Amino acid sequence: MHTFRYHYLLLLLVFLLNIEYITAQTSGVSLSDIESLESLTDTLRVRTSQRGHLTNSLDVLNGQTAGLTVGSNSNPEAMLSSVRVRGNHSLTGGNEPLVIIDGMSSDLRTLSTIFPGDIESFTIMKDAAQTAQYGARGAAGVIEVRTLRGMEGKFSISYAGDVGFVNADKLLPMMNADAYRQITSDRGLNIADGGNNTDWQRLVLRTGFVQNHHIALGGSTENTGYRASLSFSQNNSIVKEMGTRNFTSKVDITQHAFDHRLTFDLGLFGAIGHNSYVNDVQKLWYSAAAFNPTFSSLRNSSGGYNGYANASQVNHPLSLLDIRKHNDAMHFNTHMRISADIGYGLKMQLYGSYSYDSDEDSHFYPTYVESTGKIYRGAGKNNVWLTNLQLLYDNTWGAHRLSASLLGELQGRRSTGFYTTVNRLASNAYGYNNLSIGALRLWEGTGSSFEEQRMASIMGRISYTLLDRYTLTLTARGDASSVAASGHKWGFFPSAAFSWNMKKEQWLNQVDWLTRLKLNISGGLSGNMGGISAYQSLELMVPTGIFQAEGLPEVVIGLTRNANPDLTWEKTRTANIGTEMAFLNNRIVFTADYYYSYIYDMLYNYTMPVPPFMFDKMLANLGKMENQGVELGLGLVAVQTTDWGVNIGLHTTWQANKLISLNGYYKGEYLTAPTYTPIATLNGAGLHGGNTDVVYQIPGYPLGVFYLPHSTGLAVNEKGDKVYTIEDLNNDGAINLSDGGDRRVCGQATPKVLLGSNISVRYKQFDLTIQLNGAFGHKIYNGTELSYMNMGSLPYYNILQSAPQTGINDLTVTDYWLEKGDYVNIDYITLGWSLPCQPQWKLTTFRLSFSVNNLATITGYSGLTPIINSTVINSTLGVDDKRSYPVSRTYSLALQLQF
Amino acid sequence: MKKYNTYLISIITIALSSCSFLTEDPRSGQTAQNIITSASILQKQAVLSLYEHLGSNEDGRGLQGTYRGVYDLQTFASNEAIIPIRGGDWLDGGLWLDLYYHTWRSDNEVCENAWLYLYELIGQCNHSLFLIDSYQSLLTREQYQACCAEVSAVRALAYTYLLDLFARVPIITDVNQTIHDIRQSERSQVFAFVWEELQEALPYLADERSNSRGEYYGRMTYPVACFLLMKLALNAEIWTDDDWTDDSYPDGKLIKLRCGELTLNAWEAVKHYGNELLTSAADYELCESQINCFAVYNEDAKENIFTIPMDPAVYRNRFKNLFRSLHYEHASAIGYGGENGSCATLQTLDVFGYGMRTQDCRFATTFFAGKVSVDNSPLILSDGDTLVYHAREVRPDLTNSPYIATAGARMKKYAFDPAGIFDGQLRNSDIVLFRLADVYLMIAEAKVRNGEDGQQEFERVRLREALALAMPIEQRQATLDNIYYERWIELMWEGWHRQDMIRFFRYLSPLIDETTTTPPEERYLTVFPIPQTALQTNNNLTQNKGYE
Repeated sequence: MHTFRYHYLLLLLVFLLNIEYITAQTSGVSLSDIESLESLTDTLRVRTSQRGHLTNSLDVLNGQTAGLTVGSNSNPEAMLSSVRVRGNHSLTGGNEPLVIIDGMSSDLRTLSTIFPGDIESFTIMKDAAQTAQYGARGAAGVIEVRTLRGMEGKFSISYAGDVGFVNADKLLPMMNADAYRQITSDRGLNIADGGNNTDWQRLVLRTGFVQNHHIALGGSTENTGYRASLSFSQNNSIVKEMGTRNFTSKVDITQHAFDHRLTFDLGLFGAIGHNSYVNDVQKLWYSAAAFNPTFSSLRNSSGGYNGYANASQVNHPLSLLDIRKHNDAMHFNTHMRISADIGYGLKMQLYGSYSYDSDEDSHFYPTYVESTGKIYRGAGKNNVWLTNLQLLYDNTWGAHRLSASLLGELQGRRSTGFYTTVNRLASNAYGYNNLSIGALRLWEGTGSSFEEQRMASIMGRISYTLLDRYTLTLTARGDASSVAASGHKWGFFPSAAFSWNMKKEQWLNQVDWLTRLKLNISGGLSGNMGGISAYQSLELMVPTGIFQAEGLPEVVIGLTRNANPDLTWEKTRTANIGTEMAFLNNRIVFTADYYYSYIYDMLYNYTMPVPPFMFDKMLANLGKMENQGVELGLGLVAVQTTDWGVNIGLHTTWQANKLISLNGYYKGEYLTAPTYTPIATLNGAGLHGGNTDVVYQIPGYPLGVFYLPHSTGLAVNEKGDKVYTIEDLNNDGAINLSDGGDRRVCGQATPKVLLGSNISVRYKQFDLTIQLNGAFGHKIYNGTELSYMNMGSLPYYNILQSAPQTGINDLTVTDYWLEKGDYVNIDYITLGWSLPCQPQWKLTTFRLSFSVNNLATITGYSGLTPIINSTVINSTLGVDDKRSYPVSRTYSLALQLQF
Repeated sequence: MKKYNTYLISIITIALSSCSFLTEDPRSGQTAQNIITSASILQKQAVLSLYEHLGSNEDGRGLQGTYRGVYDLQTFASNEAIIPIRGGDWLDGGLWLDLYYHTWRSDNEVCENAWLYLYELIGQCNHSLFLIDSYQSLLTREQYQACCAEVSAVRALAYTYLLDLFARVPIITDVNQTIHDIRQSERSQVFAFVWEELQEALPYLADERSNSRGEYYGRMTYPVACFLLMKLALNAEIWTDDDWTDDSYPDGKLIKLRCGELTLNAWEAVKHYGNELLTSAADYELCESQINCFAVYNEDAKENIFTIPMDPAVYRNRFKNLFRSLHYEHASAIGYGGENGSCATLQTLDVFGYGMRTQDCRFATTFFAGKVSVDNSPLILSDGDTLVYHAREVRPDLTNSPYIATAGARMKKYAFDPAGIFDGQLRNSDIVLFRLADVYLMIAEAKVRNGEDGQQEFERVRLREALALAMPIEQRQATLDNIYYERWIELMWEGWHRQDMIRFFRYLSPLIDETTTTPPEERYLTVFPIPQTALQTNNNLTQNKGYE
């Protein structure tokens, strides 16, 4: 089975290589359209028309450029939405790239609410010299987004929309009720037989439905340009009760004044979203797989469902779907830029932006799911403002060009929130709509929060170009964060970049086949303070619980964490060398980059010695980590004739990460870290604590390695059960499953190589686009099969059909279920047809297309899908533990019109 | 140009004068100086707040009521109770059987939890003393002394548990101590420190009941401290022995302890503080029956000395011991939740004389065994059978056993509280930590060990249940053996048995025959290993003997 799949993979690669070979032979046709090759440079022009169905604008980035990892939202059940530029930079969470939308500082969440059709381009900035403009905020890379603005010279109106449905791929082959009855009676086990034959997996799934609609209009005169758009999108996933609706509206105005010496750009953006979640993603699917298949799917006389108390780790799957977990989100942003051309090559820009987010969460747990029932309501608000003033100078004298800029910037963020919980509901009929239905308000169920962070920055940059060939750019910036401790707030971060445009050299000028050749070298220091909550350097007393004083309840105000009065910036030294080449009039474009980054004073919640510390964790600057990688991109215009066009984009990233050390000095004392820190652990029946940790962080290894006992296979024990045989790795004559005992590092959870490929074929008015994404070199722990292959789960939990044949009765966590995670995924395939519009028509574009998203995955992995969390450092990293849902495939039909 | 220069200058000025712009102004958290503004607040937040830490709603924390903390070490590392593997349930990476078989290692999660919890409690006490010192101008001299005494006594309570569990532990008394200052003290030094701390505190503690509602509810009062001193003196032979792996140990008759003005041997000290407690103004007396101590509203039980207050509408403290023990369907039939785990060992059944003519009358109030009835009718399970707890079928691994879900006698002891919520984890019955029956048994034991007659105290506890239930009970002499078994029966599920096994030199893994004493090669197991994380993060610490 495995080899068969690999065979496919191999064939595919051979196929791709052949295309390259063939196209290299057919060179000579001149080309002007290099648009589709732009994915190789770091600016992506968005051509959503040729994409499959887009759940949100983050999907556009998936697999489009080297060094950028997008945990797609299209399988939210199995995978978190995440975006990483060149992997993980920090352990604390400052790993999400900075998002700049039309110059305003934003975040991934806001970006995901913008309708893809409103986006003109993405620019991905990866190394310190590129991100220096944004300083500390851009430490984890920057995604600059340009949205579409007023269209030049004329009025236009456009509509783009699609409608589609989503269905599930393969399900887990669990035993049906008859097989379950048979196996339990064969083994002499009593079961609670509800007399039914229920397929729970089918019952929690449905056919999903998706639609997007977008209308934009705009125009411009000599001095004024505007664009306005409205969009609506809906995404009902294959899991019942799980879906999102999003409505956005966006207006941008540009006004020139005083002979274009002064320009005003004003923008407004608003989004309103409604999201409906499954309460506990893992529990729902664990229940759907393992709940007693003889039970009824119908409600009982009291309106609930008959549960099965003996299977305490799962619930009646349909009762879990009765939990409501809704989120109403609102986002509003306004920004304005005033640009003045002073003359003498000097320009000035004043910029300000203000954003407001609000979230309201409403949860309802019926009495038959959660003991006595529960309602939770919570609201959170974020106010973010940013203002900067920039002076720009640019001048050329003969062979010299000098440009310089000076920037001062202030930023603030204030977050507030409150929540309340009630228990002991008198009725389930009210849902979460009336908190008064609950009789009990526990002290810990209500609270509120306030947090404010501020940043100040000042930056100077000077760039000198000689003969249009050699460019040297030097940047110096100072960043200050209120989060850093007093006396440690400012950091100084210089960087330098050198670029050599070799094609302009005389000795290359005459080489016709070489269109472009450029060499870039850069290096610098950057600071990171992201992902950290405020006040960590202060010893704060907060309400922690309740006790009694003189017979009355009284709240305890106490310490809950170690304060770090030395908290400061995490620093990253990076070096980057890269080249860009284009051949045969841009028919072949090749890019290559190597980067190395060294992170020190690494922010992390370190394990502290208790005593003298009161708590075992403290945010501090101690450890060191390194990242390096090679990014290669290849673009090929294979065929370009009037009727035919074939373009191929291929990029690959090799990345390596190493956690060097978690030790360091704190207040003059050398602190040492524990050797093994678990990151991801299995859970479920019989898997609570003990030696059930799977993925660890261990200094000297990449972040997120599998550290497991080694199983040499299965053996029959004295009771006649098959159990995992465990090797005595340290040869001490005894098996010790704990850390430091008979365990070894046996693979990493993050991929070593990432691959993305985009193939587009055009024939007359038809076009076909295929996007392939792949990841290689990592492993996945198949905790799902460990649980469901265990015969010991009977009679309370259902097992896989194949379990009795294998006959394992063991739940010990070993490398037996560690599998290779390599895969190639056909992300989407789109077939489109455009009506050739005549110039005299009012209609300028008419296009119909049909797409299939997530068409197939080629893998050797035996679980439901290998596309699980392989990026974010959290408790699900690299572990497929009963939470992988069936892969969903979307079929959609899209229409695009423009007048 | 000038205009822009002004802009530029103002930006730079803002950046440089950003001191206030960048200074944090927390609001939902506050520094101590904004909070401690009166004597009353200081007393509440520095002293009374500590009691909130004795119970918990988080596993690994609290002295009793949650999972995987101090109580689990005291209970499941003894031979009183076990959580067997029940097929897919309770394997938990071997955690529970590691406790049962005494095969724990230095990375044992429960040991680490207990260490972190107790040292956090000590840290909170040190922080309280720091606050009291910093704001002592708010207090009168008497208030200051009383506050310091109460906090020190709570800290001594935490050190007593450390002394018992980990023996060689660092003594830390000041918030400003750094890693450099953290060195382990020998067990006898820790003992001496705790003893002296309590001696210093004793005169300033209120001679009041702690288990009843009112000003001193749940607090460290004079009788509570006396009880703690009794425990220290009773275990002094063990807890002053710096090498618990060799053949020798101090003789209790020769251990001299300062008791106020007096100097007494260990056994006399037990009697002395027992007497202090019995004659205290708090007026303790044994309840008619043990069950009164564990009633739904047990604040009025005159026998209880120190409890963790419980009230579903007020406190966060959970009591999960019943939740962990009861069969799923048994628990759900009474409106609770259950996890079908912990139960009595076979040894416990023997000690209670289960199923024999001589079965102790307390068995029925301590355990659910045999047929289970709810509301006077037998409980029918969803697989059609009647629920029967097969007490004698308990085995460490019940996988493939027909009694996989029903083996073992389950915990009862505490009364059923119909008002309990969250699967019965939030209840009204206060969690009993110290009670008078233990005091009588300690006095009886001390007397016998000191060559005196402890029959009277022994029988007060032993015979009262027979009187209450009008059932016969076997006549026994107050010998050390009988006191050991009596303690086992009376104090079952109360987290004392491990300590008793060690003191009676009967602490041994269940693989060895019950009648022998602790074998030399297992003596090191009477103390838990210093947690691996503590060792790895502080190179000054060394591992306990036998675990290196």
